[in-house]
Amino acid sequence: MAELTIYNRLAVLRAERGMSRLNLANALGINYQTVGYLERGEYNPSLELAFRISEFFGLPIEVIFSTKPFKPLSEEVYTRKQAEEHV
Amino acid sequence: MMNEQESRSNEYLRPPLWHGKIAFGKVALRLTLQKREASQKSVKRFRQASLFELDEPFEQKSAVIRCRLLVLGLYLSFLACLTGLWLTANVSAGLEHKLPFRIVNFIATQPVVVLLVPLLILLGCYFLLRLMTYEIIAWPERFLDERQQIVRDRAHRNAYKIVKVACLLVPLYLCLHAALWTAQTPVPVATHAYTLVRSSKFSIDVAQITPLQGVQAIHINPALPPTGEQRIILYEVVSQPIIESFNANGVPISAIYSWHTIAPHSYEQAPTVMAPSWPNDPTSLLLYYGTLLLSLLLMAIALPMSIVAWKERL
Repeated sequence: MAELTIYNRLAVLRAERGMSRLNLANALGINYQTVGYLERGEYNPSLELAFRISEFFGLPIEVIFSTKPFKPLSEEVYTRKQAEEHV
Repeated sequence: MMNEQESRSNEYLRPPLWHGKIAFGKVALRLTLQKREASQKSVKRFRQASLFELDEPFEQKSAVIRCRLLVLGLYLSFLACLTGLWLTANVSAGLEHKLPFRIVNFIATQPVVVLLVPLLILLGCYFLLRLMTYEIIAWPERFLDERQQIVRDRAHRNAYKIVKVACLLVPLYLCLHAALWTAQTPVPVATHAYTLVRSSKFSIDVAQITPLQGVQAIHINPALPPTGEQRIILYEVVSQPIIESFNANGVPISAIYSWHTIAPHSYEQAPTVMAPSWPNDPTSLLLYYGTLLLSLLLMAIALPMSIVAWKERL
């Protein structure tokens, strides 16, 4: 069975908060290289680590991780805004 | 905020204690300020780099190449160790047919160098590899995160598989090699030979080759050192002894065989070059088998490290 690709928004969330990989790794209790692996999508986190990440960012898991590629945040926000205005 | 900055900058404007060195103090101040600016810039650049990892691909590529070169160096030095062991063990067993005489002579006279140089390179590569992979391989499990644990477990699993296959293949190769080599060698009829062949050109103790099993190189008897240069010709026993002499007790004292040269190959040998009594003395034995065991042990330990260094970004 082929391994499922899991996409994430870790890099964007980390950059938004102005954190380095080392800071995020220390906050999550993992190695800083693991953050790089997660961001590049070369390693899929365990359920426990995924919950820890979502708790740290204060966001639901599905906002951070997805099985489908994410749209750019700006595009997502803009289309949502337009849809709201249209309604 | 401004006051803080001013007070900080004023620290550098204080006159030096020794007034005669005011000018020097100003230069030093300028240099210190420039240095500080440069360090602040580099810190800023580092923060930016660590935040966005802009130069990550270049660093990763160079790190991967470095690791892989080190792994290659490790395996090449291991091969060099094995080659050195093989050469030193076979230096007096017909190696002169395959290699130039100078190389054979060097191996015969300097076996320690032949063994220790590759071993030292192997040790160097091993310690460098250990230094690169210690975060994953050497640290206790409680200090590793889940990814590192997975990487370490996978490396140990792969290393175990490789060792398992090697443990199966090496005896298989040895058995096949022995079987094929024996099958290809014509078995001579002669079963024993008791004689001593002496001449002005060479001295050969034929008693060393009993019982005869296939084609054998006849070694020079070190107890009978020849004088001057000598020509060594390799012989093969092709038949039963033609004439045998016995003493009163019925013990054969001499025999004449029909000989012919194995190959028309002969070489001049300097009187100083003698095949060493390798590995007969305890020091040589310790060096030979110590090198063999140490190189095998290092390779077994370094196998998971080399897998991690080859596959992962460190």
